[in-house]
Amino acid sequence: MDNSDSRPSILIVDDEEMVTTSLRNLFRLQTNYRTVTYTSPIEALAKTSNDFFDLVVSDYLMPGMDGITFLARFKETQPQAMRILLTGYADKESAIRAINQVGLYQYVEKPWDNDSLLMSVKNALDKASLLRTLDTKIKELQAAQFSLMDFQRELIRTFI
Amino acid sequence: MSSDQRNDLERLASLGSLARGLAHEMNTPLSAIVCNNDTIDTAMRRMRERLDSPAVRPDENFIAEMKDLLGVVSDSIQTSRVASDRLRFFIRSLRDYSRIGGDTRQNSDIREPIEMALLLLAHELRGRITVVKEFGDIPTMEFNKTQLSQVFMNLMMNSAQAIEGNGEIRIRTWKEGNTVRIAISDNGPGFSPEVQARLFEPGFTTKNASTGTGLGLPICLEIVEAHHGRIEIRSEVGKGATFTIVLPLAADSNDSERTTNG
Repeated sequence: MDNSDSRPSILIVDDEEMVTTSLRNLFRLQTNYRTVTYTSPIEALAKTSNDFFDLVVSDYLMPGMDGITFLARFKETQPQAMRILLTGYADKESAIRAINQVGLYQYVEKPWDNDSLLMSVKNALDKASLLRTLDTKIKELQAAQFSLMDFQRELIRTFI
Repeated sequence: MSSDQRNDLERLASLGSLARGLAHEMNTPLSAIVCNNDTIDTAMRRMRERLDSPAVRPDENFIAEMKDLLGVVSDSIQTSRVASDRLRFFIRSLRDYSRIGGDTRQNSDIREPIEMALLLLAHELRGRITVVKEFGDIPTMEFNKTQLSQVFMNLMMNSAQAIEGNGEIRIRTWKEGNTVRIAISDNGPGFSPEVQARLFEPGFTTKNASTGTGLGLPICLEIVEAHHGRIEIRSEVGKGATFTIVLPLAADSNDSERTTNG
């Protein structure tokens, strides 16, 4: 893991290497994102516990663990990451169920259109970044509120 | 209707029930190819623009950029090649499996019809069933590839449907005396001797109406017997099932030898 790397980071999981390679090349050419790929969801969970991502793109039908279970497990450790599910037409119904189940940002059908996938990914990353900013602001507000309360207590002690 | 015609119908019907999964399986290599075409196109356009630019200076940065783009292009072409090979094998299997009419036997490797059936069943098995292959050293032999793949497809489909949740199908091939044996085992619920006694009765099925026609196993037996072979069954309730196809090695060549010598 490279902590100094401030580029947006994407984790791609698909049991077919031809898919992960194609997506890695697409992002390498069209974006400055840091992409990490795995062909096994179990390996991806095991090896990314110290590597934080802004977005995870997962296939649905994979041996060992399906995409929805993988995304749900990933959400437990990295709730900040946006989640996109790649599906074949036959899995569409499962994908729709997953929208609520794992808080899916979007599902993308195979074969995907590169431009619209890039757009979805960009929008998801923008949303992640907005949520992060919002989170920081909320923490700042909370801190400000606590210090105001301290100040208020001090005022009360002083005057009453 | 002749038995060959009935076999053809059963085979085509089974393909029909797999169509959704087949489309899904072919979609993956297609997705990779579509994505790579686009990537190659963009990379080439970017290279052309840079080369056409009047301000271009072939310095180190320029060379590094070109090498990087060429790397993307060659990686994408390589991936598309793997994907195209997969599609080609898929289409060849589909074509062979849907071949109609006649008992055309060829000298082939017994692994071919097994792999063909596995490829067509890939979607039904994926994510749920682990396939373990233990292929022995077996000489090529004379058989009808389409019909034997129909047998393997039927047996593996039965196993896959019998297994509830996750499970395993084991395919073992070996040579024993003058026979070749192909055993397909599953760790599903198995069946009782009463069920076993009726397995080859036309119309008998343990599945619900939407999945089983009851024609699968009688057709398998007929095809195997037409190859001068037999099917052995071993099962116990709760302990899975094994169907072993026993085929004589070089039965046809012995016949022809006798004819020539006679």
